[in-house]
Amino acid sequence: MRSKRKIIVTVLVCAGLAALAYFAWLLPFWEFASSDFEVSWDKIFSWAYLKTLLPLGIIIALSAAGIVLTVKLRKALAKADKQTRRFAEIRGSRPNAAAPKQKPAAFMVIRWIVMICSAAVLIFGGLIFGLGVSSLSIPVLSCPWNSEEMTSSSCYYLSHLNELFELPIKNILLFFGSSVLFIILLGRAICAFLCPLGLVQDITDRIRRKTKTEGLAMNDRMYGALKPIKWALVLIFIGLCFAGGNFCNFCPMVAVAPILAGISTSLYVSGFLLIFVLIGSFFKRRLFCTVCPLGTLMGLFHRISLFRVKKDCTACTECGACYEACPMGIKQIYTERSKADVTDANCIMCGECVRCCPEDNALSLTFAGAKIYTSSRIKIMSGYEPFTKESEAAGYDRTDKGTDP
Amino acid sequence: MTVQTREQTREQRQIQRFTNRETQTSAKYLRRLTELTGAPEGIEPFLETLDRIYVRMQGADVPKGTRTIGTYCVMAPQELIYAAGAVPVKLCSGNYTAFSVGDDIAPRDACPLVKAVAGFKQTGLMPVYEDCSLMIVPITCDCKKKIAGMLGGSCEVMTLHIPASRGDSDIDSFVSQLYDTAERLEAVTGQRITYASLAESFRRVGYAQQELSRFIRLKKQDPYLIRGSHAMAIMNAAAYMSAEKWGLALHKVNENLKRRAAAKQTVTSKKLPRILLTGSPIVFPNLKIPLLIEESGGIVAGDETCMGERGMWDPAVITDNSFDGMMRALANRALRPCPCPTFADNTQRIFRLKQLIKENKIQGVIYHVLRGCLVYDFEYRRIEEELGSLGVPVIRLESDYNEEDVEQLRIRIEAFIELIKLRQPAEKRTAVRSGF
Amino acid sequence: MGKYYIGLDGGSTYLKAALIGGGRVIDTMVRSTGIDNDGTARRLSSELCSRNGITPQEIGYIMATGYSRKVLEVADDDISEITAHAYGVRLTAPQGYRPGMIIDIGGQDSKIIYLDPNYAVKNFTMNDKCAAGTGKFMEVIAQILETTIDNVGPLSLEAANPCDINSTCVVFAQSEVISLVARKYDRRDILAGMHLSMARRMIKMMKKSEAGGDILMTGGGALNVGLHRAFEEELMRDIFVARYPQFNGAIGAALIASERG
Repeated sequence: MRSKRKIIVTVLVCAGLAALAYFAWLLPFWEFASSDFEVSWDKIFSWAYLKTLLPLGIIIALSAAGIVLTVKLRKALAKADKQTRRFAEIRGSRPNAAAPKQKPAAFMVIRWIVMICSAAVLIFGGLIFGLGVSSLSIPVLSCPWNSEEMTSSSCYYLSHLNELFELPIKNILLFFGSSVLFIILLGRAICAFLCPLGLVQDITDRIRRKTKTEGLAMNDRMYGALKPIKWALVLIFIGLCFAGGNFCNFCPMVAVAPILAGISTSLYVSGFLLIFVLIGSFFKRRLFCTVCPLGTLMGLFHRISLFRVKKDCTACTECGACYEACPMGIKQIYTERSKADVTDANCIMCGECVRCCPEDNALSLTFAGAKIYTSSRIKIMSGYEPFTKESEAAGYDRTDKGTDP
Repeated sequence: MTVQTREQTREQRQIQRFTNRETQTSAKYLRRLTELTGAPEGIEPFLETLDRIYVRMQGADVPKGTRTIGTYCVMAPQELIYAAGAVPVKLCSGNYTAFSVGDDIAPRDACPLVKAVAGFKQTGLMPVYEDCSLMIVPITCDCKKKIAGMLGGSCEVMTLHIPASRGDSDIDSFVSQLYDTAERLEAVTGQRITYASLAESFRRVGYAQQELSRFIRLKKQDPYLIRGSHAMAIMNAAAYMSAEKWGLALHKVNENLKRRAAAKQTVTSKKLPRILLTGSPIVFPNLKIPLLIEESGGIVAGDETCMGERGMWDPAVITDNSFDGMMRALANRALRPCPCPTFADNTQRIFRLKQLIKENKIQGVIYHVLRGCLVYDFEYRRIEEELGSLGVPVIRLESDYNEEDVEQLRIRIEAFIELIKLRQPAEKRTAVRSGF
Repeated sequence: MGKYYIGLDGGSTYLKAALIGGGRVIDTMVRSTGIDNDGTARRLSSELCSRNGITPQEIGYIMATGYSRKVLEVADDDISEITAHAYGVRLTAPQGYRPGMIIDIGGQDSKIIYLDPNYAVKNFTMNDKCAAGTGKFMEVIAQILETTIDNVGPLSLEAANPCDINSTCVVFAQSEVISLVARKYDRRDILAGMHLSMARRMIKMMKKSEAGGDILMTGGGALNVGLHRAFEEELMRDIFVARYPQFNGAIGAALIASERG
């Protein structure tokens, strides 16, 4: 029976993840002989920094190799299959032409700027500003092993609840208070705007788009298969400390933030996991976010956050572009036909759905009721200008864009 | 010897008769369009195209050496055809003369559109049909299925299986069908489809769609800048022109309409009832219904038909700019936003109609059903109920490809327009009467 | 402004006029159309006025309907027969009629109009392609049976065994009736069969699912008691008959006129 096999496979995968997490300390990726926690600008501009960066460099190199191998493998498989043989070469090689592209929207530009600034602050904040606001906990994966992060990230204490409850009551309340405050104010927009691991994934996705490499088109069955993994990771995230394990040996961000700040951190399963995250998020945008335990916990509060996705169901033509564009695979934006509010627990507020929506006002992102990004047909069409010689010969004047009524 | 010559001349006489009738009917409708007041400046290329195809009976205006590919539905993706170096022509027919020939070939209950196609195939006289190197027929109904089989006798035909629902697996299977289509097109034209040619064709079609969006926005302004019949002729002409030429000509029309708007030059000054036309396609020269509506004192303020506004409304949105991503964009656009009744659940059509009613301030909906078009007919009841609950009157107009029912249609359309007028506050008479 | 309104129904044989005021029908008149439609209409209008002591200035609006509505220049505007008939029943329907269906049997055409509970036209079917189901049908048969059209109704009520008349086409029905007469069938039975045939023909045109409410007969054919009875028997329900049935169109036109004057 197919469903029985599915259940067995799912259970095996989740158990495997749990085992990896628990025994992470037994699987070193890179071990530093001595941990060097000293951080300074001098250190960053010295050879010692490069030594600290070495594991990250290896991870990036391995990921790049993995990506190239995967592309070549896909091409070879496509060529081997009679049905896909003819277009295998075109699909697998890098084109030198450009597909029509919309003019960049203000929302997207702002999002990138905020993401980069937030990553800089969370990774190098202490160095840059010389101070830390450690009582403020933002629920992002930015690694508190990095002593230079400007604020705390909730990920440590949430994955080490046993240690949290040993702190004085004031600290516990401060922790939960600031985390919850951020969650209510920003919801999972934190994922799209503040999380440095999100920036890493968006960078790999950008590289893919620049090279016009074919991604992985997921359908609802595949998204459904990720769900049990997501909840297994939540369980691991919260429960590992009580079983005696350490989530930080498992979390991929450990391989990024402290190392970039110049702290030699030994990597265990986290190193391997980062390779998977980099390769995976290259082919499927924000793949880690679909299973991120911290994100899932934040998503539980999606009904009360101030960031919302609104839909005008009559204007929607059910073209499905929002669903195809959504990195989290949220189908209800596309299928919803009566409710005006389509904010989902998985939605990270990246705005991709609004960017790809061709009907005016059908989708919009709002913050505290005010629309901050609305879909527009003119914007979508702004990428279509014929460049052929025939059209110029026929009199198309590229400077005459025509004004819109 | 004498018998042979007689056969030849009889065939020639048949050809002459068909040609005469066909060109006369088409010329008559073109004349009605040109005589209808309020034609926008710049409409000439569109009328000229219709004249070229149906009155002068020449093929589509494409550069020498470019092949034409016949399509029979908006779901056949134009972009692929352009990418292979050919030009698509939409061959759904509205021709009365071809219909009367096809009436004997196709079964009595088949729809007139398919009968007309059969008629053209039988006579073999219409260059726009005969010149096609390949016919792509999406199977959207039983009649299309069988006509695809019929056409296969004289031309290369490729069928596209249209799934009954729009789920993720249906899209995936349609993507692989599109790859097959691309391969077939390459074989026919001898040109490879490359990333560059596909991207360029997205731009070409996208440009035409951009102009269409502007056109639709302009034409729904009240008081009206252009009559619905003229708009229908412009949109119909897209079937026989390359996207670029059509887009460029439409660009000029849009600029002229904007000038009209600025100068407050409207085609109607009274408050004419605003009608939405929806249902089976309205194909030249079968323009009797929009012409009747506008002659009876209404205005076709919008339409939801596949040879009209809906033909090129939905853009193919590229969410992944790889080659496969562009193919997926085509598949998504062909199936998902398409409110064609070929799908089992077509509730989204009701939302489209509601959106059009809201945006164009529609006062009445005329539901056009071609005789034998069961899929559209099936949806009538539900749409009547839904729009009825909004307070919008709907009537069903069944029609065939002949001119015998024009008076019947006129009476019904007039009564419908009066119904709408009576819902508005009436204009009072103020002049004093002296006698009889 | 005037308090009286005139409605004109220009049919092919007869031109009918109605005068309404204060929301009620005051007077009706009918005349042969003749060649000069407009002239007949003018004479009718002035006679209606003089008969009821009204001056032309008191006529607020004149509305025309029917085949020749567009050539009646005396009228201020024209309206289609469907709309006029639908309006007419607001005044001519008897007490207790809930708007549903109108069966209009005219001299040369017949219509079925479907109304919603507010008397608005939901849908309609018309038979103007042939004479089946119209007054013409009855005229032709009445002639063969050597009687007049006013008699066919009462005579048919006396029938003991209605015949089956299968042809719906007037021309074929003629031959069928002649052969029935030759076979010595009672003409009352033949007339009853004729009425049943007409009723069945009209019922085939009906979309019963569209009919909420009650059924009302108008037009000249509504005066025919035999036809009324035939409908009631075939549909197995009570059928209302409008008052002033031949003037329903003119009354409706006048009512619409009253909204404009």
